[in-house]
Amino acid sequence: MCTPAALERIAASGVLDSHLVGEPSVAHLVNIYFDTDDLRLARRRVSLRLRRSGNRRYLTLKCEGGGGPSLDRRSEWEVEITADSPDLAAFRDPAVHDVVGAVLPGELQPRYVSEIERRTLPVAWIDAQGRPGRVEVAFDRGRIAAGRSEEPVAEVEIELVGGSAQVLYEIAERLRAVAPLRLGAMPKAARGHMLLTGEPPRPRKAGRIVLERAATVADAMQTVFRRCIAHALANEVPARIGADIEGVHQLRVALRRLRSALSLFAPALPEAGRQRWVDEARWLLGCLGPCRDLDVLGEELLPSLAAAAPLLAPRLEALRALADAERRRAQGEVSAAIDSQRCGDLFLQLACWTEQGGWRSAATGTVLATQQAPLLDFAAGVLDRQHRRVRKRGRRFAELDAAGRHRLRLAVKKLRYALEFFADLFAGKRVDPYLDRLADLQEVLGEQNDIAVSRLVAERLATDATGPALPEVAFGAGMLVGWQSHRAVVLEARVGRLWEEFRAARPFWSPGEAAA
Amino acid sequence: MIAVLVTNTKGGCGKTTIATNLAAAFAASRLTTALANVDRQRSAMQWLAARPSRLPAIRGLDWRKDIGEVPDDVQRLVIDAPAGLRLRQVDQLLTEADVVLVPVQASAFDVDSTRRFLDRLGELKPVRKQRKGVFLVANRVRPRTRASRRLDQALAELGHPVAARLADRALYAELAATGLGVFDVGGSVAVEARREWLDLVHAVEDSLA
Ligand SMILES: Nc1ncnc2c1ncn2[C@@H]1O[C@H](COP(=O)(O)OP(=O)(O)OP(=O)(O)O)[C@@H](O)[C@H]1O
Ligand SMILES: [Mg+2]
Repeated sequence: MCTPAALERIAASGVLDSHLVGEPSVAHLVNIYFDTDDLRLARRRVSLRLRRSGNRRYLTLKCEGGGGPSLDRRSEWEVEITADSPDLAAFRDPAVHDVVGAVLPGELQPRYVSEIERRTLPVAWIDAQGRPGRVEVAFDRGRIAAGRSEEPVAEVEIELVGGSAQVLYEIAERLRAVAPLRLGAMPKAARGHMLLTGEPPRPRKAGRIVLERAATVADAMQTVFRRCIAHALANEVPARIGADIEGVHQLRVALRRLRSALSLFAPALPEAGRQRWVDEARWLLGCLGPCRDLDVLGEELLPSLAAAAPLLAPRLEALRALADAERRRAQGEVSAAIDSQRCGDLFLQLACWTEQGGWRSAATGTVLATQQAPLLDFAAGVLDRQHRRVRKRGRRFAELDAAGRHRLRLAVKKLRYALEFFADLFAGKRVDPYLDRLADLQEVLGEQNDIAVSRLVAERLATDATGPALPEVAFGAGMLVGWQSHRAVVLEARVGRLWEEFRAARPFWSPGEAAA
Repeated sequence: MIAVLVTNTKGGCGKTTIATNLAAAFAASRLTTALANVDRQRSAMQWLAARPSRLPAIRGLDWRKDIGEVPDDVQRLVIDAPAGLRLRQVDQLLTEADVVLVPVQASAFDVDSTRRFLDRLGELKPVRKQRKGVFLVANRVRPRTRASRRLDQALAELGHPVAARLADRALYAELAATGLGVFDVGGSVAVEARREWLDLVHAVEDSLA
């Protein structure tokens, strides 16, 4: 995905000319997307497309799976049809009807259309290891229209025909060097739906990661990184638009998981490559942080305080207004960061690195050996280390100061992500009690942290306020800090007990107890 | 599979009309559909026997004696319950169902007996725990009449959502005799009826999505 101008630059650059192995072909593609009046297909995350290409017609049903586009698989059905209407009976597979549900004749009407001129180049390429690969590079130019709104389409699609898959990523990087290019966060159908309804796609949660028990560490890394990228990409647009605070939150979760993965897998990663992704993820997280803090304040804390003290609620208004204004500014920073080429490069290049197993180059000695080691032992080792780290950070729990608590919280969080990646590899009756206790502990530590953050934010807003609003802002901020201090006392009474419960929970991941 | 139970202890309120038309609507959507007949009067089975073979097939399941097996490939099952069932029998059918449709006609008599039926239905665990959606279907409505306004009020007090309002139409007697549903007849006759039925189909589908 890129801007129309960038597409022209890439197309005109001729970087692929010397690799052409045939004549470019041009096709005019008209895609008509159908749905019911009440957009039931979209609600079921299904898109139905009638494609006209020359005088042939194809009906395609795509069903969006878990995470996000590009890197995740979707279920898809396609049939050639003769009529210009979308008859679902053309799909022979009854599973199609399980997916779409009851759709009666006449209910399906065209909702949006994409018109694309696709120029396809047949390309042969030799990868860095000297292996040949054949690909088709398609340049899509056109538009998507829904009713009276429309927007341009400019996309490059690289499809492997045969040979080395690494060629795909080498070409992508080569094209990226010519002009800005990023991974498409939304399939065309999702863009059409957004044009049609004006509604951004909904934020997505990470979803479960299932690792093969017989996998190597390198296999597992690839799966985990892929899922982190897909999770992040699925939330790029929701976060940029900011209609639902969950978008920024989920993008942050995706980046945190990525950072945890980079740290948990560090023994299998060459340091130089690893550090680059750590730095980039930290940069983007930093751009999202202020917005998230204000989201929590405006959408969670202030409403719950207003509900708890209805008589005083009007006196929170000045603080709320200031927080809203700040939030809009912070949202602007979020959107700019996501739109930046730095962010585009982060996910494009991280995806290339992930798909190519970029950790292999520059890997030597123990790093290389770790990559090839069996996952199960490695995972047990990681969990052991993280578990011990949490215990250490929590020693003399009652005496920990704020900084100590903070360090403990971070360790707990990392252990939690490690478990999200690896816990499914193990089985036994100790798994759930352990996970539950850790989750309970993490929740309270997280709430305590939210309280600390909200105090800082309220204080800053009160300090920054000027003019006639100042006394009311200060009053509201004082109320909030007072209320949060009270909650902190209540939580403090619980957290000690939760810590003791976690301490009593026994690890479940000794390799001998691996799931059968 | 999604199973829809059409039930009301009150006789003649439109259970079979609704069950057969709903089954025909699922079949017209190309879903593999079955229609279970529980009634000794065999009215659903008779409708099926009259159904022309050129139309999308509907499998008949004879549940007059016992609740039978449902073939694995069935995607939608509609159960036509008879009038005057005992609560225990309703409870058994309920375990097979995902959604319950309760037809109600516009007479004070029907509304009263439906209220009693809903009260008893509400005592059954899956309904009480709100695990199964229960929808009312206003049947034989004559729009813009006093009776229909009274029915609307009465329905609002019954405490369950109204999935659709089906008008009183001569068409239904004809469909019943010929094994057809509103979506199987073309032309303008059924246009308005089809619109009412879309509400019903959507309510059923959305309740489970
Ligand atoms: N909307 C309608 N418009 C006109 N006639 C209708 C309508 N609904 C049902 N009927 C007619 O009412 C009569 C009873 O309907 P139906 O057999 O569907 O009810 P039932 O609840 O299944 O009855 P039973 O309790 O005997 O099983 C039938 O003659 C049917 O054609
Ligand atoms: Mg009947």
